[in-house]
Amino acid sequence: MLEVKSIYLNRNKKQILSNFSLTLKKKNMILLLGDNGVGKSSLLDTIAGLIKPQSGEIFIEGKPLKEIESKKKKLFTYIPHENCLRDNLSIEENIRIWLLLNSISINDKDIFKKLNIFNLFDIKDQLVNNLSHGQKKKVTLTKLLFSNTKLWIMDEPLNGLDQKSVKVFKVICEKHTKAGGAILFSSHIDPKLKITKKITLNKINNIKITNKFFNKWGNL
Amino acid sequence: MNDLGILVRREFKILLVSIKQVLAYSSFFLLAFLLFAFSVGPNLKILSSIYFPILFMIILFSLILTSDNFIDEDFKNGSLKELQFLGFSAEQIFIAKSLSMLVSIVLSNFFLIPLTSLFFGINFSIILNIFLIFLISSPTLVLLSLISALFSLQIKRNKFIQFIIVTPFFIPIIIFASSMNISDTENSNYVNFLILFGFFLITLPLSIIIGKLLIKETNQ
Repeated sequence: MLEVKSIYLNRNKKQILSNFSLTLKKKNMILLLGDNGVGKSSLLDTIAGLIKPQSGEIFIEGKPLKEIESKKKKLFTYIPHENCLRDNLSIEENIRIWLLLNSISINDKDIFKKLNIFNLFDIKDQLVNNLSHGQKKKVTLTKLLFSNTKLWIMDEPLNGLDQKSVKVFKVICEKHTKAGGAILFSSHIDPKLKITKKITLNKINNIKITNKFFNKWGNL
Repeated sequence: MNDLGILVRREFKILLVSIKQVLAYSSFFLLAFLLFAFSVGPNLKILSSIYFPILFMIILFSLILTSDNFIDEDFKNGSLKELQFLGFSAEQIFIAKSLSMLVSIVLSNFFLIPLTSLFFGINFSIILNIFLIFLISSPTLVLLSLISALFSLQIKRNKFIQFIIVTPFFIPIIIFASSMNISDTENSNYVNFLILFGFFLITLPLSIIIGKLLIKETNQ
């Protein structure tokens, strides 16, 4: 589903990734672990095609990323670490704008149903400006529920989430992988999710990979 | 709907619900005009003779100061990144933002120009002339001020450098716009109109190219 081949990435005149490779198959979930500043977000931005690596190749569904530039949104969903929400719009308006940008048409009933999964229905008319950091994160993660793609890439999706929402997130991820989807996400703390592989990114050239890392559910 | 259409719809949706941009522009515009009127005194003859150059100077500064609102929030909340990931080209993003800024500026000035001309004792019959000159020069001014806002993202919000880099490009527009004879209802302004339109035709492709490069640079 996703293949990253020998990526070399420099940022701000510093090499942050050297010969980095990764393969994500169907029904798998990979966690990128690492301290702040080791390059997790840069790696995910590179996979999303926002940053060009110095060398190396990225394949989505077997096709090189360069060839699918305009079709990316149909093949995978990327949730960056920023919330991507307009402060002066309500939760519902932000979701509707995201749906418009993704050319997804969905009826009101389904929108409200999905907003309720993270308990956002009652506050759907509130301006994003008045929400807490965790609530904003929940709105961002709600976008995943509308996505039709098999591959999800998320940067720090658990940041600021309360325990109840983390459990909801776990259920959503499990459901997605069981349905044949794949997830790649980053975190600076180990979220104790049921993941297939954990990749610990350290400072340059010190990448530790733990295969078949299965954790028990919910100690959070 | 094509990609540009979707982006323009998004920008107008944001513009409609957030009157912050229009208010920021209008309040700065009115305040600056009032200060000028009070500093010159009650002599309407002097006031009416300096109205037109002052109008363009204030439009210019209002545009530079408010153009940030159209770019800054999308940059801070990650929407610029999200839009690029979703397959919208940097050119399309720049054009959509320019259109929304142009509409907000033209609509505000539709009320502001007649209102401020009253303070300066301008004959109501020549307001249409003033508005026409403003209409022909505003697209170029909007494009340049958006470039200036994108520059300010690149140069870590150093407004001083922003002014030095971009302000010289406004000068020809100001010269040719403010040198027109506003009380002339015949065709003597024809050449100036053509020059201003020529400036627009030169600025449009150049600003799209520079805007694209600056938007791409925000990911780095």
